[in-house]
Amino acid sequence: MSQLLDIIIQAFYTGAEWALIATGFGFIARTTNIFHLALGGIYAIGAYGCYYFTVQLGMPLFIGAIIGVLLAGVGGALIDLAVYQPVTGLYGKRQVDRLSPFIASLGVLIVLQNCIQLWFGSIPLFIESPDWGVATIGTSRILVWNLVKILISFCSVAAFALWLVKTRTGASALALGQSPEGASVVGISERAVRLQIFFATGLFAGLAGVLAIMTHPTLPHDGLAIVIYGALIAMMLPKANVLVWWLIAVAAAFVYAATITTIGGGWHDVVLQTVLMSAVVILRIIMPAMQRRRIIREASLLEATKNNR
Amino acid sequence: MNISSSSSSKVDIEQEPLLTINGLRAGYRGWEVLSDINLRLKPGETLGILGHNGAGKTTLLRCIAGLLAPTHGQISYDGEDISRWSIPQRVKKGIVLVPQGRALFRELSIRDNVMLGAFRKTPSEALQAWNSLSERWKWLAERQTTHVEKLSGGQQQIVANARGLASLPNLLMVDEPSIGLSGVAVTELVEFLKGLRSEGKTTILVEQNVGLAANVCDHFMILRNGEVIGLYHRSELPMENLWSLF
Repeated sequence: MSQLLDIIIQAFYTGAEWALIATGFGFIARTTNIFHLALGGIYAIGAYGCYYFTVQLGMPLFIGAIIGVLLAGVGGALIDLAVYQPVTGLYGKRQVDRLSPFIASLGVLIVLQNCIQLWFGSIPLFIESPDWGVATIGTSRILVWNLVKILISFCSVAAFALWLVKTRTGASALALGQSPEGASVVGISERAVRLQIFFATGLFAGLAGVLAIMTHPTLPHDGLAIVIYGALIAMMLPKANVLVWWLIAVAAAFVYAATITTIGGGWHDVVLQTVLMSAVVILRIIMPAMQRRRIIREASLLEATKNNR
Repeated sequence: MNISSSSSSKVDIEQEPLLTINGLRAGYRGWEVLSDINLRLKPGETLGILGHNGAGKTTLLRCIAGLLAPTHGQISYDGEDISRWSIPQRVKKGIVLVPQGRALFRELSIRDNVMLGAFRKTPSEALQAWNSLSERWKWLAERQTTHVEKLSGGQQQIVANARGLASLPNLLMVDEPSIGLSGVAVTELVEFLKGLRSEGKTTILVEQNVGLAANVCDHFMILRNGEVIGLYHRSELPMENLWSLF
């Protein structure tokens, strides 16, 4: 029982990081149809930016973290401006090609990760998290910092969800994803909305990086693994509310934590990836196919009943 | 009004035109769809653009709305050259397109769709527009939280029209609104378009349903292969052999 509680707690604070990436990745895929793998590089910008300002320049942790997150946000917006917009074009001049931005994204990810590795080296880096003591939940003990991390992640995603439904700019971002032509004719500027989206999702990725480097040693290339998890989480239910992605991220992290405990070694990654891929296949391919088949069967039954009459 | 596809143009000294198009050429990826279109549309006029598929009707509306940049020519609105204006600038100025296929935000509510129509207005103007439109179509308010994808084609067209009107347009362009609508929905649409005409709203209607267009427009422009082949006043339109004109 105590071990289960430990796994659940660990799932929450690992899932808190993944949820931020899933939100960023999923929302960009939903609104621009781009598989933004470069988010892994932005994650590294957040983590290493925070490290640079805090450890190397000696700034207070809080300031370093904010600068790291902001750098990631700006990085996200710049990638859209300098790479995606020229590659995909805006509405009206858009080339219908999903492969080019995907390859461009992969290229940006590799460039960012390698640049960071050239600057900081390939040794895992770590920032000591604030020592706020230990809390006891049932029989388990958890660092208060980890509870704060869960809270920061949840509140950020919840604030984003509120921004989407309560503000005109949030609604315009959703509108752009659903009908670029409709968004154009009502006067929504695609360029401006995209910059906001990429900035906001960059902030999320940067925040995930900052939270990660303050929790465990982090490498420049860690971003790719986490962005793959984020992508799989968001792809399960691509149209879901961002808070649902947060919960799925925690569930995925539960599988991860449980397999670390029970299997260990490098196998937990294999198990998690298999579980996530299976979930995506079931939710996105098998279930819709079954639903289509059921509708066809019901329609033919109805037709047969009409004919019999 | 003076519409032509040639360089000759009559001068109307009574009223300044709201929209003037001179020598407009436009197309897609090097393929010219519109060639040398000229148009003068006065405030309060209702123009129907008729023609077969591929005649260039939608392309002309897209040029006026700013969705497609012309290769030659000039578009002036209210005395200003708007040829290089962005779409948001044109919407702010009151040039609004209700596009073919409606282009609604299917997973957003009716209210969000209509309110987004007033995206270039202040929040209070947007709210005012919503209140007045939900007064006009009462069911919009009753079903305001319903997602647009759950509505019938006719209802979706009404939401698209309401979204267009929410921006308080001075020039409303409606592209093929009757496609896929039932008879009842078409009747409602005709009433809506007639209402616009009686309100004195300047409107351009692109429509394949000639009967519908003939019912609601004052003037008609007939396009064939990107050229204007005829322009008629409502009273001059030869209804019995209209299709032969195309």
